[in-house]
Amino acid sequence: MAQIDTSSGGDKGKKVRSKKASTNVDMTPMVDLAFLLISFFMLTTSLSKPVAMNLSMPIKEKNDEKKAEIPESKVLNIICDKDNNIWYYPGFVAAGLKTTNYSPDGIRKIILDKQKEVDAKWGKDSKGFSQIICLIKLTEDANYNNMVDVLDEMDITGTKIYAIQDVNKLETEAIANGGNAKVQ
Amino acid sequence: MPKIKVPRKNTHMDMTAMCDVGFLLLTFFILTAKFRPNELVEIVTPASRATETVKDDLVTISVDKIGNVYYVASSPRRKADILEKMIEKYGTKYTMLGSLNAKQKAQFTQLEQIAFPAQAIPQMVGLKQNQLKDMQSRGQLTGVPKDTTNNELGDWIMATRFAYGDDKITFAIKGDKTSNIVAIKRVIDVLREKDVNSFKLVTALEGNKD
Repeated sequence: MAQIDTSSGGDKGKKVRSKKASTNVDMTPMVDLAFLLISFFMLTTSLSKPVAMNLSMPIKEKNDEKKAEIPESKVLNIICDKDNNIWYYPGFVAAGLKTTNYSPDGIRKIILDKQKEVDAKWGKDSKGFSQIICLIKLTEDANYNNMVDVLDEMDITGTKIYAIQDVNKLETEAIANGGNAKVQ
Repeated sequence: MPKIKVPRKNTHMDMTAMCDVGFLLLTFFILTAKFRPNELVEIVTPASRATETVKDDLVTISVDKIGNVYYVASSPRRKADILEKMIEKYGTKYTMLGSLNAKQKAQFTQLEQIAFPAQAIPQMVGLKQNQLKDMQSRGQLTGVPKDTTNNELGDWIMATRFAYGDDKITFAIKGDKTSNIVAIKRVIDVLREKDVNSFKLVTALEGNKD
């Protein structure tokens, strides 16, 4: 291989040959060092690079006159509560809240079902998007992970129109009563 | 009977190839390595499906587990500009801040993040990151105030916008998985008050769930 043949080629002449020193360097410590450094860099490098998701909020209007009219039948409310619990209900009035979770069979299925329902009633828009409107509400006991999870679901289900809102009084009451607000 | 001589094999292995590979990998890792920033608090971001990688020039607002807010501006040059704007606003109110000398201003640009009220800047600039970490672990750092009565976070955002001038500026919120939503909502609200309606949420890549 890379070793250089240093053996003398027989006694041809009577010249006294100076002994050739071996040019073969012991690479072992060098390799050791190299791999030590490799392990160091592998361990300190963060291979999982952070990614960013975009979030756009509506411009804060000083007056509420510019509120867009939205049809009630397109609306799905998603309320993130404590202990990774989700409450959801369609329309504007908090009644008959049901619970679900963050699994694919949970909130995702509900959004997709709602989408089908809206598609059947309203059809798809010119770009082929479903026109479902999700109102995401986060109670004070929810955590940031819940918010990102729900925003992720919006991406997965292709929901283009969604807004993050505050939980209203009726909803708080309904959650406290396990689904239905008290009839006044 | 003649003895059968077992030819002795040379046990010396040629390490050159191995050495080559070793250093090749080493070079690769050195060149691609980006050290974890020495952050005051460890923030475990939630995972998302987003694929856009985070750029370096983000202005990050970190929210830790207990809802404290840390402001992280990108480059030292920007930080110097931002500090000037903050001094303009608070220099007369906090005289210590107004009379920062050039050395202290330079020290400020070396800070990894702003984790204290503006009033405390003169005392904090001289500290090393490790000292700040110690203070953090003892619970002495309260982050940037963000209440409605003392909304310094909003002032930092405005100062940043002034400092950037016409340059594009991207704000990002980096929250911990377990951060309470109230703190995050407050940060979003402050951003919106300052007309920053589009921003980024820093998350980990899905599949890296621990």
